[in-house]
Amino acid sequence: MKKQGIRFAAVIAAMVVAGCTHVNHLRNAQDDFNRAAEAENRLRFDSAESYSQTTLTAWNTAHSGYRSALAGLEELNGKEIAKLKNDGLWGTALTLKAMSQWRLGQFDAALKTAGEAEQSAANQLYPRDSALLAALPGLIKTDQGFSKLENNSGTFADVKELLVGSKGAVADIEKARKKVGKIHPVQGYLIQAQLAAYRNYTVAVYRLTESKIVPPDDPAKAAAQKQIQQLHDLYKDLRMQSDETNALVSYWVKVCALTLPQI
Amino acid sequence: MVSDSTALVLFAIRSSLKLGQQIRQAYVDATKRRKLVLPLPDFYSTPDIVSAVNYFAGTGNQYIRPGTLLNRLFQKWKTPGEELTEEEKGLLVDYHHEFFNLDLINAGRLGPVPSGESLDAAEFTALITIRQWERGEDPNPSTLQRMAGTFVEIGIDYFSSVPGALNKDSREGKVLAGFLDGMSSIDFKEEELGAIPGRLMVAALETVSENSELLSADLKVQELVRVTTAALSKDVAVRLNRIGDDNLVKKEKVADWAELVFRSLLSSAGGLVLSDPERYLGVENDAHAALVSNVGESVLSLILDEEDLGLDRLFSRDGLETVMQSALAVLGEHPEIVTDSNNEGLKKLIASVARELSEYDTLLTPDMLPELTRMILDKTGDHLELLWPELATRPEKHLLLTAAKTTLEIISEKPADGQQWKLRFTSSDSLLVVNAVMDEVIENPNWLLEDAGAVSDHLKGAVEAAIQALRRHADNRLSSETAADIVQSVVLACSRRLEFFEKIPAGGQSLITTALELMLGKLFDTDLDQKAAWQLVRRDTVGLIVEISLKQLSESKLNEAKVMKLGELIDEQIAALSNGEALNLDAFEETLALELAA
Repeated sequence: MKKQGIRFAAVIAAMVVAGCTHVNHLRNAQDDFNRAAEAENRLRFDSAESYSQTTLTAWNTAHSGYRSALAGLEELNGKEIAKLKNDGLWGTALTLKAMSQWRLGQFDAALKTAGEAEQSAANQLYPRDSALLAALPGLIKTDQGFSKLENNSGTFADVKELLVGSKGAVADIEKARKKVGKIHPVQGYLIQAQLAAYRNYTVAVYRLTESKIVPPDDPAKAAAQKQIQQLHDLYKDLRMQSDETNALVSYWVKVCALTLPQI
Repeated sequence: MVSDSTALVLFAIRSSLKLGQQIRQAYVDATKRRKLVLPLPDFYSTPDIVSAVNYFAGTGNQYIRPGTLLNRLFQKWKTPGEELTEEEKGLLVDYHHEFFNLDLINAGRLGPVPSGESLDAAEFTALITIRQWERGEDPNPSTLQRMAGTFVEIGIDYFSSVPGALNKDSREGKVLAGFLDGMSSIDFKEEELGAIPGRLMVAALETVSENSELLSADLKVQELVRVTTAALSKDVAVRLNRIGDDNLVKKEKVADWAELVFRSLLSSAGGLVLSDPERYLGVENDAHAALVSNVGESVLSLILDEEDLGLDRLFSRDGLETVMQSALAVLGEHPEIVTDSNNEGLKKLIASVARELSEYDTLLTPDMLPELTRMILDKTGDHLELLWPELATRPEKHLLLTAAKTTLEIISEKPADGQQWKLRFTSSDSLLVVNAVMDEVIENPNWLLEDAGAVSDHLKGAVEAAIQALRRHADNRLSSETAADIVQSVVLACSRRLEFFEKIPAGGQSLITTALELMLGKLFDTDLDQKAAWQLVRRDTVGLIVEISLKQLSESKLNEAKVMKLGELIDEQIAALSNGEALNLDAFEETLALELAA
């Protein structure tokens, strides 16, 4: 009876899923995005020189996933968009679109999509997505700071403002963090994004100032130190402490030259 | 009158509509809550010269000593107009890597031999794959919850609409029949149990199909499902009634744990029950619950009634099954545990274990509590009267529980300031030591008991002697695993010879303390000749030397002179190694045997 019951339910399920093309488009875009993000993270941690010529092809492959996700979402027609809104998935779709645009360097488009999400789908923006959209300006500024350093195209003051200024990346992401619970797992991602911005700042200090080292009393350093402690405490509160999370926290301490957090 | 085939068609149409709606909504909800892998923004991800110079200008500055290469490199980097070569930058980065690892060791975050440099990409991706809602905050029902209620409705509808529909000879039929029988024995209002019946029904079907032992279409499976369903549902109904209507969080917690305990119990009980259903499912008389029910209720009570201990954080499905399998085995061998204690024995014992030992299940030493509970239960089976003498009157008093608590209190203590060896025992190290202690207590209960029932200090004395000597003399070359081996060797040696506890008149220390201070003091002497240290202070060698030495002492006419002789023999061994000889542990043991016997 269970076999018959399962077959029965499976037939119904197949029919239902086949009739949800708008949801399927969104899920395919999510899959493409996840694959691209995974590939990008793999490149970041597996390559000794992240931006050497030999890995440019690999980076392009990762980015093609984002292009695919974006294309899938841009292909949605009016009817499908209406169905997504009806199902409470429009905010999810717009968030994914904005994130894909960001990774493809389409910063203005990403911010526009984020604005559209906040205006037309505010009640369909769930906690993680809401925090990501709020953090988007900060994520973009981190990329811009990095780009200026790579291209030797900015002054120290410009880069500092972008990364750790009062309206810089770290501050923007801090505001976004306040939109979700203190132990929401997305906090782990956002804290690391803040540390990424601070890391770029340390490189800016090295390349563009006389002293080359971040002064011990630099407020940006104090803020980063606090974020390390918060990252450690977050995994503790989520009961996720393990060799892997300890290694992750240690990694950020090392790359940013901070102090190990209190246990 | 509607024919059977028409009834079936009508039923199919109704069911497909119900199912279809729920499936569709479940699909939409699942899409909302889908995890995303989140990409970090662009940043310089590899530790490099920037990381290195900032490190040595800050916390790493303590490692810069005059006259060293590191110092020369750092000073050159600081000097205006000077430029480090690429090779020199590489060296500075290497120094950063080494000293940062030392920082990790000193902070107790790494073993003595660091194993990796950076985080694996796959591990990082797992950590950056983020769900939509915090746990417990998702407002949408889970797919299981959506479907389970519908399945129960459909099931009931089916069985009542279609005569002869339930094939009681099939495996699934028996599970369902057992489940429905169990539920029918409960006197409850439908609202009280809410979605729980659906969850338990799905749990029963899934667990039976996941466990090969339960795959036979056997009447015993039906009986197992019936007894388990009835016992847990009754317990849950009482609990929910007690909570009332004003605390949904508590009600959800009861439902979640009831389902988990139900699944674990069916999985754990399978083999045992099927081999002897009389024993596990039979009820001796009305006053005594079936053994299976007793275990299920005891474990559920443990999680839900000891709220101040937060045990729901410490027990996973695996942990529950570990405890249940051991509990079932020991109750099977000794059903008097249920009868003599009026069904309370097991419950009180495992609650007592949790109360006394849960503080040792920490973030640094996770997963201890289920394993400790299992060890106590398993060992109780063979030595019931010895270990649990007051079962009927004070079931919370158990000799192995006292042994475990005494041991863990000492080995889990944080190292004091000024102590050299700072590593903490891991869960597996701690469990090894506790297991060895328990075995010795079973062999010789005098470890804990003196005449007239007074509590002895011998166990505490032995473990403390080991730990104090290790903390005083050992350094970061000693792994926690080897330290655990040494503690075991000490317990075993002291178990053989009471003389180890005799105090030496001159120093006032016990013989065991004196022996350990001598051995560890010599092995970890910072002035030890490099050639000797290279051979002696290897991971396993230290533990073996201590084990061999204590064994030979325990086989000798043990007194202060023998301990001093051991010290001399170790000095001779060190001298030989300093002169270029190779360490031969067999020969060392023979020498000890010969010299200590004289």
